[in-house]
Amino acid sequence: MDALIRLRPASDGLMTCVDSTLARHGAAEGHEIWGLIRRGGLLPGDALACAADWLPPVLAGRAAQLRRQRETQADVSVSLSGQAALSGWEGEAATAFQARLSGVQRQLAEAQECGGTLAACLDELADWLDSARHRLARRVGSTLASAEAVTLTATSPLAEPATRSAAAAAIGAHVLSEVELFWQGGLEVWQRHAARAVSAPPALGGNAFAAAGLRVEP
Amino acid sequence: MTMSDLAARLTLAADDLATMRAELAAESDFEVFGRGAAADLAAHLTRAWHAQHERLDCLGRSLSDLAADVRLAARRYDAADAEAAAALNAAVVGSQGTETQDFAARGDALGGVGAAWTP
Repeated sequence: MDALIRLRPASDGLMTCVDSTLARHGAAEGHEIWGLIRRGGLLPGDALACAADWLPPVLAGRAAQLRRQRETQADVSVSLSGQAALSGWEGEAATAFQARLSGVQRQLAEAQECGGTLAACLDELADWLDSARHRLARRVGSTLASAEAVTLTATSPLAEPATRSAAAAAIGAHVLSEVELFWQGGLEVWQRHAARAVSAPPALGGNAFAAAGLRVEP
Repeated sequence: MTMSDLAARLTLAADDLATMRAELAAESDFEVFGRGAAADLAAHLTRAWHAQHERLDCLGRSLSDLAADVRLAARRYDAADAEAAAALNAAVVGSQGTETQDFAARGDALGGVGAAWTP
């Protein structure tokens, strides 16, 4: 359980209050929160909840799954090697079979490569999440202790709607700016791996046996 | 290794890939609400994840097709061998009067005449 999870029970009430105040009273024209809301498409409480739902172990688990599959794919690749030769099969059909099998093996190697790259990316994202969540927790923690938080959460509201609105906008902008950095950091990690993690799925050639004129259609 | 063994190995490999594909497909998409960098990141990861199980799906189907083709080729070799053996038997019977000798199809991968003589 990281700091962000531990803070959630305390921050949820405040962020709900921030969202409802902004929804009811809005914020001053030209306030930085408008740009942040427009870019992220979410009010501060929703944006924080969404970021907090991204957990490092989930990404690390997916990376581990891809790595396990990569090992199995390597075993499959070995099991396919030299099969035609082992069977003693020769001739035109055997050559066509071997060509087709070689194509499959190349694509299998590519799947291994892409899986490995995606796993490395997810591992790095999990590491990034660890530190990004820590930074976000510190930001939320500082918000909880702020004067604006007191203004918003006092049991009998002492402040005028305009003051409450300003407090909500200040807290919202404080949190949203960190949430924005949170996602931008993740996107940068992705972009470092993108070229190798995404290649076109295999477009394997037609039936080599058919090309060799050996396929008998029923 | 016979051609049937070869086909069986290919089928096994196809099954392994299908299992891996199903494992990946069972995972939910990377989800966020809203837009911007969050939505971009989730969309990129989801696309990469889907591309990986599409790759495995495509490879699994190719291996299944290959296994089916190997089985078909084996059947054709068997049929060709049996036909050649029958022709040899007929030729021997014709040349030796009532004395009969059996030629059996060898059924090997080479697909030649490959008949074994059984006195």
